[in-house]
Amino acid sequence: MGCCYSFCKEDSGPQSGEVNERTHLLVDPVSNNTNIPRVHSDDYVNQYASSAPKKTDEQSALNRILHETAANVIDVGALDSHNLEQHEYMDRSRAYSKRIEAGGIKVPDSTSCLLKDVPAPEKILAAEPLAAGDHGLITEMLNKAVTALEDVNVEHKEDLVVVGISQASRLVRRVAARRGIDRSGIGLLSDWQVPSFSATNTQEPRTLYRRPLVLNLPTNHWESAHENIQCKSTNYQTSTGYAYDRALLYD
Amino acid sequence: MLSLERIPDQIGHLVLTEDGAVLTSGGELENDERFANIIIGLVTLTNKIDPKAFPNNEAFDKISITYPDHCYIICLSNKKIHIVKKRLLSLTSATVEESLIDV
Repeated sequence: MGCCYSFCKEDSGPQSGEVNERTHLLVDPVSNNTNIPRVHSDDYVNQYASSAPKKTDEQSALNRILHETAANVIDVGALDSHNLEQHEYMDRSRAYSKRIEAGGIKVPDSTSCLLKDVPAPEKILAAEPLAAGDHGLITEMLNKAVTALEDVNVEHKEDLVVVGISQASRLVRRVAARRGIDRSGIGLLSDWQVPSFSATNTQEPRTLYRRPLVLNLPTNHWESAHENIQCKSTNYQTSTGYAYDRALLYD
Repeated sequence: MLSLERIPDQIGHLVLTEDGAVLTSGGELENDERFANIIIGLVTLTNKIDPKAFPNNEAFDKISITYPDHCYIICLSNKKIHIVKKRLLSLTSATVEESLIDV
């Protein structure tokens, strides 16, 4: 027995709306439907028309279903049928630009293109991409540029002077003094014990040490080349002999 | 739509809107949106061409990207960007390849 149908039947009974021993505790439309031995079309009509309690005939109920379904369906295909007419397009364009102007919004410029609009693309596309002469010119220029870049090197003009630690520590002290920090009590040991020297005075004793350039050869044969770097550092001022010893080790 | 497919030696073509949407495509470039983005990045790379090199504020008819065995030709027409991928003759490819190795 259908749920709605049973309601209709019970409405006429003396115990309508009251809970009795026949009332279902759970509303289960599936099991309710299975109780019906024979389904009449009237049952369906009554089910769908349950929101409207008054009696309606079959035709009007079906019509209502049809209208409801039509109202709920969004016909995507029909939406495209509306084409913008030229004047409508202009009106909208004007309205939008007026709105943008009123809002004070700056619309970003359309991105510029390196290409210019040409009338017949097929002709240009079918043509040879690059003339052989142009290609040769570009390649030649590129090769020359690469060769020039490879030849770039540092020209040796004067001795390379490596700034010793004392100058760095003096700089630190100067910065500290400018910032009003008294570093006299907190200075690093290296700040104090290294005698200061002038970086511009190249007449001071200078330590020569050599930096080895090690080439890894396939036969595991190690060969060293030497690049002379003249290092001037106060650390080595009092131990020139040691520095030389170290330099000799590399020979 | 156009006769891009009839261009000799073409192995792929692409027609884009100016903002990079693929309109038509075919061959090796069929629906190649990644490539389309690269091309859009290339043609909108700069908004200013060096006025010393090109004094009349001119734009270019076409951009060619040449590889040893194939090339891309890009041009703009009717607000659409046309790209054709073409196979290059092996004669030129040999010389180009040589020069590229030198580089």
